[in-house]
Amino acid sequence: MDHQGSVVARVYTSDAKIPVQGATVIFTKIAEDGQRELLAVRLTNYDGYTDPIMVDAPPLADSQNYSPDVQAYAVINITAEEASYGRILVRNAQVFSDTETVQEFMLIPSPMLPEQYAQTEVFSIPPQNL
Amino acid sequence: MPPVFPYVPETITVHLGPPDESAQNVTVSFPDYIKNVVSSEIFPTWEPAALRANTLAIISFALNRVYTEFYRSRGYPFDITSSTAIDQKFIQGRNIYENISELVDQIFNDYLRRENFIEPLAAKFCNGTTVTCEGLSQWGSQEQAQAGVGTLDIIHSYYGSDVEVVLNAPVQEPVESYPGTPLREGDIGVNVARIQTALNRVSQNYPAIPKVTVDAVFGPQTTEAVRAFQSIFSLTPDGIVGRATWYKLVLLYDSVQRLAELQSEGVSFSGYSWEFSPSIAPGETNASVTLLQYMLSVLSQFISTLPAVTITGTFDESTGQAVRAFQEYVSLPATGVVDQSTWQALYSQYAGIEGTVFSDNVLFPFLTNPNPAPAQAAAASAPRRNTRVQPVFAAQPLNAARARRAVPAAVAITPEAARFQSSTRFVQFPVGELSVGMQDQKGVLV
Repeated sequence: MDHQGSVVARVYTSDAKIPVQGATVIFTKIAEDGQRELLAVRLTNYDGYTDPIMVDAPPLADSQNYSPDVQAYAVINITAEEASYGRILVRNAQVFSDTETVQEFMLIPSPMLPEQYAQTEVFSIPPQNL
Repeated sequence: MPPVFPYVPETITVHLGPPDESAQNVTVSFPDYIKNVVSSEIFPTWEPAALRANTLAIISFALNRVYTEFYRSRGYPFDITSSTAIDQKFIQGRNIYENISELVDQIFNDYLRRENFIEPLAAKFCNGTTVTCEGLSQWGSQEQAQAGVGTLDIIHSYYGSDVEVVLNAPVQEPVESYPGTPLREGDIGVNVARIQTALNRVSQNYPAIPKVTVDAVFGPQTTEAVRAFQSIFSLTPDGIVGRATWYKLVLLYDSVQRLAELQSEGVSFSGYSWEFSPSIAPGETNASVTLLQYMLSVLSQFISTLPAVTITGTFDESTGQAVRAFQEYVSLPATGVVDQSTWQALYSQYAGIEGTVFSDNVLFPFLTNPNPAPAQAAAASAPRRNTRVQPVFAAQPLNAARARRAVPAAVAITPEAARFQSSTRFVQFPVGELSVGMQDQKGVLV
């Protein structure tokens, strides 16, 4: 496809949006045959942001005009993790052509007790039925 | 009884399902809520006029629910639901879009109302294709915008010509309201001092923002800091504090202050026992309940499905609700009663936060008196919900003036306001090697 959208991840903790620097953000796509394809791995900067990655997306016209049987956006999965915080996975984040998608992650510091370690919070974004 | 004049709330609590269905309640900042709903309801690739019209309708609907206390007056502990049958679509944790985010930052405190009415319009909408309704047609608005129709005309076509737009509505206290005109280099006065104080505090968390001297004069140093702030937060980096920059800065500053107050309050509990006690029961008043409420307050800043709790020392209904929400979060039976396992899970989560974020000397530089006397500790645990962040300026508001003139003596910069202007963030490698047996003063960042 010639059309692409960009995706940026922002990782922070608490309502005060304290940035998490050096968090690992993994962008993947599920191909039609069910295989997972790795798109990119990024680390967040001082401000908690990654550099943008480019993702193939359907043509703009699919979302600008009523197109009932067409999915007008691409979907990708994004994981954010950092030592001492719980991991978050977002499924089916939506990417539109010529548009920047921003996926925010509010990480939660891991509890002290061992049996509560390695928690992964999962958010599944349902399809846009506009 | 609703307040006389609508204000924009700082946060909004969303029930993730129909009102009578059991579901989590998520509390998010109002701009973030609107960004989420707009991103969930329409496509970001639409014409700007359509994006604006839909955003205004979404804002108005939400403000109507808040202003009329639609759910709260019926005893529900939330402001709105995510059920599209009666409210608007909110998808917890979803992605948003850069252009939507910028748009909402600019207009989050504008809303629609009918002429001669005070309350925000309960603006209904639907997609206009598979569902039709009285109100805005989402696809219809996009078609009109593609044909060149402007935002207001689109709105009038669906809601009637007697609908007007209220601009720059006040935001709920303690958020400082935008002064009404942009602040720029050359201005002086108390609002400039506010910006400078907020920038310094935010720069503790965002090191790319340079420190500024809090002198109530908007000079080149301040312009630089504003530009750095704008670059990080996706605002036009022009160094001018307009409405979007003001609210982005002030809302963030308030959140940071709230967290910092909780963090310093924690220091005052150093003499308390953190052991589980069966005396933590509904209706009881004691130190253990105070600790419980404190921990729940801290957790509510990090976990959006936990409600804030007022630290009163008495185990009341809202404390029970917060305990239930926490128990659901950690998959314990949601009894609302604190047993041994609930307390352990709570303390474990709190200790995780305390040991990482709260112990960070850069984020939370030590106070000059880290161990306040017990009398101060009791005052610190006085009811805190909706407490106005204490003003740090001992001045009457001045009109922003461009002409350079001496700062009137009335603008007194308190030590609190100037506190973060000279703290460093990067710990320098000490001169000379470190080896066993050496001692020094723990570096306290001023």
